[in-house]
Amino acid sequence: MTILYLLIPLGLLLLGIAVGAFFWATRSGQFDDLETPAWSVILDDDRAPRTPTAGDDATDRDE
Amino acid sequence: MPIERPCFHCGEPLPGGAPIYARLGCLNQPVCCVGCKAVAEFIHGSGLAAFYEHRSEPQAELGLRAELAAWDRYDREDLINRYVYRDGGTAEVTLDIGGIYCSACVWLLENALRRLDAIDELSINPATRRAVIRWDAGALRFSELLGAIARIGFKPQPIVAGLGADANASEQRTALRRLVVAAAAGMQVMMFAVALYAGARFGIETHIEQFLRIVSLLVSIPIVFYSARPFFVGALRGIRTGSPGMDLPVAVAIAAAFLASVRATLLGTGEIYFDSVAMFVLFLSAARYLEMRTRHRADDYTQALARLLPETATCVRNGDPLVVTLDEVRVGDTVLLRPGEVVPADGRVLSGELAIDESLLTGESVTVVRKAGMDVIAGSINRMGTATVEVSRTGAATSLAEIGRLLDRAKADRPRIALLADRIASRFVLAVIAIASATGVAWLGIDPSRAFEVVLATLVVTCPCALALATPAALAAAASRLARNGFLLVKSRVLEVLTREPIIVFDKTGTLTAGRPTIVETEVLAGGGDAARYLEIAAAIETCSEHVLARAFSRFHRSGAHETTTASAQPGCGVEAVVSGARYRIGSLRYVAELGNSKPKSADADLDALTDVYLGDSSGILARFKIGDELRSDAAAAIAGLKRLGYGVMIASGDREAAVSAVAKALGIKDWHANLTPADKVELVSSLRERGMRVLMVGDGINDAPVLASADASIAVDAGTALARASADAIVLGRRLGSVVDAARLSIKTRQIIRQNVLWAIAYNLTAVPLAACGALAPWMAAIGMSVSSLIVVANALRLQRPEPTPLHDRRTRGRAAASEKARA
Repeated sequence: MTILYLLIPLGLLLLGIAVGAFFWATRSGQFDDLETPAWSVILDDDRAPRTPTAGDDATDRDE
Repeated sequence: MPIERPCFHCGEPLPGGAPIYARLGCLNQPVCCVGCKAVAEFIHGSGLAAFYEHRSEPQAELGLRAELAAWDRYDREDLINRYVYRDGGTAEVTLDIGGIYCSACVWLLENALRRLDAIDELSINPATRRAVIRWDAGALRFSELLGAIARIGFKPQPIVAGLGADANASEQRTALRRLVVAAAAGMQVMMFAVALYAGARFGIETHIEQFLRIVSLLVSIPIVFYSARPFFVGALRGIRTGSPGMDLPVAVAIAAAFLASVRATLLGTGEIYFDSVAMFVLFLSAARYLEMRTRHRADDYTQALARLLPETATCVRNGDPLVVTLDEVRVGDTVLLRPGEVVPADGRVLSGELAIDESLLTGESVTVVRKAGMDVIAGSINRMGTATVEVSRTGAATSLAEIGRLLDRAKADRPRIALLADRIASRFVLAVIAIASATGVAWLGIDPSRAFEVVLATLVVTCPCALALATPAALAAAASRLARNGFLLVKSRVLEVLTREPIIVFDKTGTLTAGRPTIVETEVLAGGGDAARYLEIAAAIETCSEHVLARAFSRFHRSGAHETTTASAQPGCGVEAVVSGARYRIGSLRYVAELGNSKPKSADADLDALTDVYLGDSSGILARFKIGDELRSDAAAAIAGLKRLGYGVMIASGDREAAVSAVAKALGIKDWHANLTPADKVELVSSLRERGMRVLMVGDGINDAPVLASADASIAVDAGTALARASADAIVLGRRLGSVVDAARLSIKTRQIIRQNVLWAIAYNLTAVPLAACGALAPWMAAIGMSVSSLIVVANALRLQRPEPTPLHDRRTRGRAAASEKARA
């Protein structure tokens, strides 16, 4: 059963990688919204967005 | 712009979505949030840009001192305008307070802030972490208030109807991480525990057993020190403030089990409890996570309101359309609205015609037409047509922000029953610790080897969460459900009163009737003037009045034709004003006759259902206007619905007997009172209350404020743009009277659910605690029991948020009502 001395650390290593991957996923916002992405398939994307975002040009032009 | 670039100011990674740029001289630097934008621009604007070259490390961890200094930015006029609602000398702000975990935190914060003299009013809700503070703006600056909160160790975040979205998102992320770590590591610990249990039964080599125990210890470390951290933090805070919350027994149980297991592992002998610790933390974190989701979902509606506003607007300046950010839209600007665009601020249509959809604000799906001279409110959607709009209110002054503020005030208002639950929970915790200690002493006498295990199970199994969570969770869920239907709950006592079989007293005009009065007949009584002239004078005076009947005259108003000065309104009687030099009164017969000292001639036997309005001057009564007002399309259905639910219904109106009795007959209401002055109405309500009845008053919220205030609870219907002054406990935003029936139905359900939750909590604790104290429960069973109990309470409260399936006939009548409404409009 001495093989356990190798297998258990290996298992823990994999666990560490999995948790690390999960942390990365939460950081990049993948778990913030679990509903909208599913709908995005159905929504039309050939229509222009309703409100243009405030980009550089808008900020530059005023004053 | 590469996403990998950190925030120019604080060094945190930039969030996804539309980037924000700080404008520093001729350069635009990406920043992570509006706060950083403000600070960076402020630093640069003060000529301190060298700060960014000389600082040794990015801002992120500069600590409390930097945080205190950063509050100074909240003294900038534009930030104050965005967050603070000012009413004379007092100011009101809604804060999201980071770091509130339980009622003890609230206690601490309340006591610390009450010591400041400048604070007038303060209410904090631990379930939503919202605080509504009113204070004397002259005596305490906004930044000082925020600094005072930060000094105790909480993080205040001012919100405009739900900028708290970011705080919620990061709280949710952290909680999810803690939960996943607990789950992943917990499963490993369970796996080793199975091996060890099997080993104890069938034999295991000593060195393998010791190896598994050491590995279990290592894997448990992240569970205890990362996943279980909120429990320790909460417990410490509870001890420091002297009123322990439910975190204390949890933290004690985790720490004791973990330390005992570590000792056993290092010595190589004795029981280990790593599996119990792992499972306890896992299940409790799961319950907390779900509870947090409920809390956030209750915030969702407020945030949805805030998100209604576009980020930019098209302003017409010097004749050219120009895209500007929402912050730059000022009162008096002219904004161009195209089809599909969202109205960025409250304003009045200058030219053009729009089909406006206000469904997100009022719950009504019928689009309404807005022509030149009519008002539009921020957040509604322009479905059709192009128009220019003159901005009258922006930012925190808009009706939209007002709705948000009302919702926040509602969330911060905790009913007595919730306060009671908090107090019980706090004592409950002390009782639990006492019981656990007593059990420990008893078991030391019975079987010292099992004493530790039994104490552990007792500590773990008790569940005060169910008691503390039951009421606030249900109320928050109910309020957000109602808000979605256009029923704004300002004080939760409306729900309480609705469940106590109150008598519902309706005002007639503007409440049961549509409040769209029209002049049916004009009769000249004296003075020899022609009807058109009297109509014009009446219209000029009525521009100064907000009474619903005044709207009937607006059609005849010619601006500039008659100069009106020194108008004074006498609620329930009429208006007096000087028009083109002569003094006139308009209103009820008695009131108008008083001016001319003439005797009211009431011989006219008015048996029709029309309301009479008189115009008179010092010489006597000049004209009579007959005004008709039709019933709301769903009034009959709403009254019938309320009766079916077993409520008593009554009409109290200042109108004439004939008009009131006609309405009462049409609606099937037997109990009605006419010819009441506002004082009479107050008296009627108090006499009902003296007879032991609870009174729920439904009115239009403006003209009948004193009556609304004298009732046990009040609902204002169709307060329109005067939302801010409506003094009711709840406000119906749409024209649908049926919302009142929905609220009644939901309040009954809410009470049921609160009862179920409290009963469940009591029953569970009464069963589980004795079992654990007798040693019948292993620590891991206790862990499951307690966690499942919390989950049940939260899930039960969540049922209130689910929309009820509308019965088919209801839907059809509603559709018909909408269609007839449309036809009339």
